[in-house]
Amino acid sequence: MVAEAPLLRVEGVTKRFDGVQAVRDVSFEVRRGEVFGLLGPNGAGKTTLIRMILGIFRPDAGRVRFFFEGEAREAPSRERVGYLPEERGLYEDRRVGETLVYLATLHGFEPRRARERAAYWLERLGLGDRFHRRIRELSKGMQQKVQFIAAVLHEPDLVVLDEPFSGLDPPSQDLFLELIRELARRGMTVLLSSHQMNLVESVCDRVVVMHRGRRVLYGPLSQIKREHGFHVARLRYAPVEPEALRAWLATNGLNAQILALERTWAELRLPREVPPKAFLAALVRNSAIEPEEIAITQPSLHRIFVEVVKGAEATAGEGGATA
Amino acid sequence: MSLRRVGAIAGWEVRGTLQSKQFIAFTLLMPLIMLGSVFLSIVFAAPELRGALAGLSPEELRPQLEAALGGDLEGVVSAVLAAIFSFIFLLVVLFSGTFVLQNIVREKQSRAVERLLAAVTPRELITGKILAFGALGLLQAAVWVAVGAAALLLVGPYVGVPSWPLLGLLLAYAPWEKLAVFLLYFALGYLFIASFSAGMGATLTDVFSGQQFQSLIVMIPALLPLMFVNVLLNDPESALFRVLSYVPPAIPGAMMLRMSLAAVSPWEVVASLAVLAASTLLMIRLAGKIFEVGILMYGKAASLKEIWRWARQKP
Repeated sequence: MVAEAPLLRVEGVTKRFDGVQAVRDVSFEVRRGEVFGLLGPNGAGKTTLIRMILGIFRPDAGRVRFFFEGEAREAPSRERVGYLPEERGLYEDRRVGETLVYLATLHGFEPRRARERAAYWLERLGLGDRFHRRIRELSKGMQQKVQFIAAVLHEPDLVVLDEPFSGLDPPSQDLFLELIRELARRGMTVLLSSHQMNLVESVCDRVVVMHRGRRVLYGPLSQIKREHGFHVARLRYAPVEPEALRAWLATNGLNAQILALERTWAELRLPREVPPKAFLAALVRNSAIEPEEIAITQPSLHRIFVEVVKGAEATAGEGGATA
Repeated sequence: MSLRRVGAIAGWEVRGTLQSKQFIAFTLLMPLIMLGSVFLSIVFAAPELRGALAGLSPEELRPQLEAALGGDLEGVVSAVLAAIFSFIFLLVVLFSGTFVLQNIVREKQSRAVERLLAAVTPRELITGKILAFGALGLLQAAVWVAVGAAALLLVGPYVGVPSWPLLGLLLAYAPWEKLAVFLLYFALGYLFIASFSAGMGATLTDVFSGQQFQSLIVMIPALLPLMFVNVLLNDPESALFRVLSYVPPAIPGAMMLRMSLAAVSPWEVVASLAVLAASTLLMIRLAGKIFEVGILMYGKAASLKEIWRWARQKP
């Protein structure tokens, strides 16, 4: 599998509704076989962007290109994409099996195979006996599973999941996370949109993070953490005067920001210039501190997002009006 | 536009509607109620007609009727049949249009539509639904006619009416050319109302939305000819009906009733068909645009001003 080849490229896409800029000049690419995170708080423009990717909305500017067979095409091939919308619902008075087969055939899937795959997926998600049941007889959670099946049944190359975890209890959230990993293993490309950054961080290879219609972060998760990341060091030590520790931090050029400082523990924010190793080396050289526990962690994506947005707003505030 | 997808959508809606109790009850009960009242009125309210028909042998039926109707038997039979068919077609157009509206509102309300739009274009979706409910409407009309004929054959003997010869007479004098033209009015009138309903449905938030009164803009004019059919019976050259023959939603009703009950020149038929066809094409375009914008606007029903803006915006 060529992991680097793009499947989808969003190029400078902009969309405005009645004077509201929903999406402003957003670009990114989704690569074949990856789980790509489209993240950001509610109202960031994720669903609008997804609707443009699926061809439901036309962008005001920019374009969306697909590379299913290598060559570019602007129209999304409706046979090759699957969709679990955030605004989701099914025909209440129709049966589970016939609904799944209908949606798959609309995507060009052969009815007999659709029936087989529907039976397989229902079995796989513990709904094996619900094939002939009416949708309204199912619980909300079960309906969401059926909607998930409807997104992947026709074996699309790209499956778009918009807030798939909303309304799920924790065990079902775990199940969905596992299913997403499984889809990626089968070679499907997953575009996963969510506002729950901490929840999806564990499955995404690369992410784009949006805020108020703009792209604020983009790239492999590890790289974002490296570039925007600072480290947080949590120390527990044998009792020592806080002032002694403060003096040590000031004189060693560590430039650490003190988040908390007590007689037996401290929490420090290490700037990017101070890698964990340098901090540890400095700590080892200091004979006055006797560490009992050391934890140096990278911040969560959510934490980075909050800092980046805060930084951007501060800059915007200093610079006056924004464009 | 993919015909395969349009066909799949139409098939899905036809299957779903045929399973719905509302549709089945409506299709079967409607003619029974209408025919029941006709028979009852013959039995109780028009004993002289019953007396004229009762106990006749098949050979006596025609001369007896001709005598009773003053000679022009063919004219009367063909007028009555044409009026019955215009009535059936008008009912089917209005009811099927309403089915399209309800179906689209429900699909929007349940949010099923968003999932569909990842697989099909809005135009394929509307086309499939309009074809489905048009076909179901024709099926309904056929059932009504069949139930009517069956009722005549079954009940006739009990009230002393020679039903087989009467049916033969109706078939012999049926105005087939007129009915063929009616089918054109029906098809165009249905397309006009159904595409209007599709666009309108996309702007509503639920089936009971107060905004549904907007659909009356078209439904009321479509019904005007039926409401004023008395005017036409008194004055076949009625100016009201001449005007209504060129007001798009009213054209099918006005023209079918006029053609049933009075003489209409061929050029008037051609001109009204041309106006209806042109306005139907325009309606399909406008409704398509309104549908595309409105179908994913959740939360509130659109105002007429908003709808007008959507209709004019560029694709």
